[in-house]
Amino acid sequence: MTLQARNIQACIGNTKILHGINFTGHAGEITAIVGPNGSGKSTLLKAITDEVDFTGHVTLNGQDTATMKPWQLAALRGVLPQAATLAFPFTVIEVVRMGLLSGISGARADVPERALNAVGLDGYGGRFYQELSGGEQQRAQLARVLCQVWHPVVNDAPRWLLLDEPVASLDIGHQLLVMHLIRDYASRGGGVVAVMHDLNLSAMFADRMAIILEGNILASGPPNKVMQDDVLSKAYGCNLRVNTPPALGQSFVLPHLAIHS
Amino acid sequence: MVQANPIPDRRITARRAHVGLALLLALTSLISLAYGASGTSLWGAMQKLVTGQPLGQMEQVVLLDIRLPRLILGLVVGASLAVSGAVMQGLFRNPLADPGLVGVSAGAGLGAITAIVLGGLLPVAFMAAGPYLVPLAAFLGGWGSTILLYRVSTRRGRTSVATMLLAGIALGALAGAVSGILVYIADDAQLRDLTFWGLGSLAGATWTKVMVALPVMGAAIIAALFLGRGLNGLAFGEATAAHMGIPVQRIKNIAILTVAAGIGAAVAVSGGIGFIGIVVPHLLRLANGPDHETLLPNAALLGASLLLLADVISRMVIAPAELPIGIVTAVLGAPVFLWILLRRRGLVDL
Repeated sequence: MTLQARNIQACIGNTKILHGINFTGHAGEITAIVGPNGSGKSTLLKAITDEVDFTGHVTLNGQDTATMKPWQLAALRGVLPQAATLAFPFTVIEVVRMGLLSGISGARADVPERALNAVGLDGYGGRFYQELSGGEQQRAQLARVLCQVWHPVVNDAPRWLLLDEPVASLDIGHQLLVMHLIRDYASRGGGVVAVMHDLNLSAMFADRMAIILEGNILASGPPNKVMQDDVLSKAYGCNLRVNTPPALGQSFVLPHLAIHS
Repeated sequence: MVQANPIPDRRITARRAHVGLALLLALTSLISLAYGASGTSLWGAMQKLVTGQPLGQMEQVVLLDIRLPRLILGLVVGASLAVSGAVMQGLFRNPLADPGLVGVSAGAGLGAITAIVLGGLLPVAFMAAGPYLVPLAAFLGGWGSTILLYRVSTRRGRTSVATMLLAGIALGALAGAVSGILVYIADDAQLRDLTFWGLGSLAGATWTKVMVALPVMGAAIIAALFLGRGLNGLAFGEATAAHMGIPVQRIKNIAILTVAAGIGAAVAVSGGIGFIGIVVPHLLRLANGPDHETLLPNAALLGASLLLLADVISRMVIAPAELPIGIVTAVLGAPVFLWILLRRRGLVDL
């Protein structure tokens, strides 16, 4: 089962952001979308989730998303936005419970509490969402999304987590917590597609990476294949050196002192 | 780091509030029937009913033809104003939003003023509408301005709430200007009518008005009660609401239609009654949190109770004359509102 985006073209205003991208995410895996600022990573995710106008086709578990109703989509995929605003003073647990809003998650009543525990916010349920720090708010939103698609597989169909920079404002400990959490979701059969900035974290946890540059896919595949000196240096416009320390067994990139290639 | 006094489960307190507010409404309804300028006693009439004695003609007229339609009209207008306010605030994601902002009230006001000032110029055929000309014009004005705004702010099936808010301000200013011209050419008697209409009153309540307005406002309130989940989702923004499985455009359509109908009809039968639409939802949010599933029914109950109470006061204070009810709602409500804001300043967050 896959999430497929075929020949996606999208404009924002008069600027063409995506030039016919083909992208596939697999159930049971984490697929990281990486690339420099303004390359079209988030726009690709927004096209997949129908937040921007686009041409092309998106299928989820083989079904064209354009033909699906909002509640059918909500039953199959949870979407974490990059920045979430909230209009009224809800408490944290009230926010997380909104994940059950679609009413089709099949989740039990204790799921919101468990989702809060999973993101390291146990005991925060009774606090006001607006009084949390940025990183805490992001984890509360992730708990809400988890709540919505709590079981990674329902009726033999995988469910999907589509995450726009899920660890962007987290400290390193919580970055690892969240990455382990989505790793676990994928290993239990769910699909995860995440827009990421941290290449090393992506290489450490993702099964596949897709590098986007100027609205096209520059390279995609397993991290060890994508994490190459020339590919990354071209993508980010600076001199990058990839190493594979034997102890780690995976690619690791560090900035080089001579910044421009 | 974890707060010492976390907020308890507000779903429970909100459900208790359903019961409390329903009791309050029953009480205010009784008071509304029992007290009035004439001094007719509800208890006396009830005693007669229980003991099988016939009601006096005075009692029949005062209770059944004056106070009862007024009670029903006040109940449904209060509920309609409060629910419409809560729906607007949810739709615009702003606790300060008010039906006045989106041009519904301004359009309805323009309709009413036009009818008051220019109604006399209409051909005799329209005179049949007689006393219902002003309410009818108000309803059409409110409805028309909402539909116009909705058209302006909808592109390719998507309604931009921000455009609607801004266009509503522009349309409100325009309606105000045209109203100003009409006020300028109005004669003294018309000016007096205009002023009283603008302050709002339930004094003109008749069974005919109830029969016309009740179905419209009743349907709007009932439809609005089903918007709770959708408005909760919209609090996170439209994109996130859609990802939660909310049919966003349908929710917006229903919200706009219910507000246009509810406010249009309320303004038509009772004039401009301010304050209920913004303060009732606000008080309830402070007490039970912003969950629209409990907020909307509670707003209906509290809005109805407060308006009935304000109406009793408006007809008792300077009896046998009546104070316009808009004055009562503002004088009583505004200081209470300010006091609550000052006490719980930390919780009010845009």
